[in-house]
Amino acid sequence: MQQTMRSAFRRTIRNDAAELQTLCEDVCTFVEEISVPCKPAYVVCLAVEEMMTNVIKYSYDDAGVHDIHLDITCDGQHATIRLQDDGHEFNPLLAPPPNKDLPVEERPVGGLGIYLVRKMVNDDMTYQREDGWNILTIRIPLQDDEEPCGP
Amino acid sequence: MELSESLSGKVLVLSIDGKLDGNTCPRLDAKILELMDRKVRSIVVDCSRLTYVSSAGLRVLLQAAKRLKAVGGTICLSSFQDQVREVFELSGFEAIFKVYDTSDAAVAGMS
Repeated sequence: MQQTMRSAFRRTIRNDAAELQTLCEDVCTFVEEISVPCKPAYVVCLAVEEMMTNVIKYSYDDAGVHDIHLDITCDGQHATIRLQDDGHEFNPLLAPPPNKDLPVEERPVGGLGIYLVRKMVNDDMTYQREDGWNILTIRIPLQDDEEPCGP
Repeated sequence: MELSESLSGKVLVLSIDGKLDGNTCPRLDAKILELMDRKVRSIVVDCSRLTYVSSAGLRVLLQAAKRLKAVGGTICLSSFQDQVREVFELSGFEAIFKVYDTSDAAVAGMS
């Protein structure tokens, strides 16, 4: 289904797992409501969950409260996710990929999230460090030859 | 996310209905531990109604494979939807888990 309307989702949460859970649910509702096709809808939800989980778990060197800003805009061609956090400098594009050749006993249980998102968006991602903020922009094509996902 | 189980001979089929994400995956982890406490050693995870999995969900499945392997058990997966299949393939989990088209085929393969 062709997206002609420009739609946007904007939210600021604190670095708190419960707030992230609510946010992820709301993002998935947003992409459903604007009839994003199945695959890009999945990728938007995955990118938000993986990248923000990473920020909350690993980005901060103190135990304080921090704001994380999320902006999603859909223009018919792409969904663009912009994530902004004031954690330590971290460029996910430089994170090493997981070693997929290890046997089950030796595979580490973490480190997959960033890799999955990069693969799902074909590395259409940019990273900037500005005035103490990490700014990550992820672009997801909205194919128009697919039916939107049901609830 | 809902979990349901059924027994087919010695193989336990565990169906996941809904999303396996950072929020819901602890419930799958607890269920696997409960099954292992009940001495279940062969598990088929039926993914026909699994609509979403993130790395948090994959981690729980990997943990389950490690735990079962340590006690001589096995876990396999069946019936992926398209996007879930893509995530599994990208993560290289198809090298770790045997994946079947249907849960019946998985049960037959394990029995």
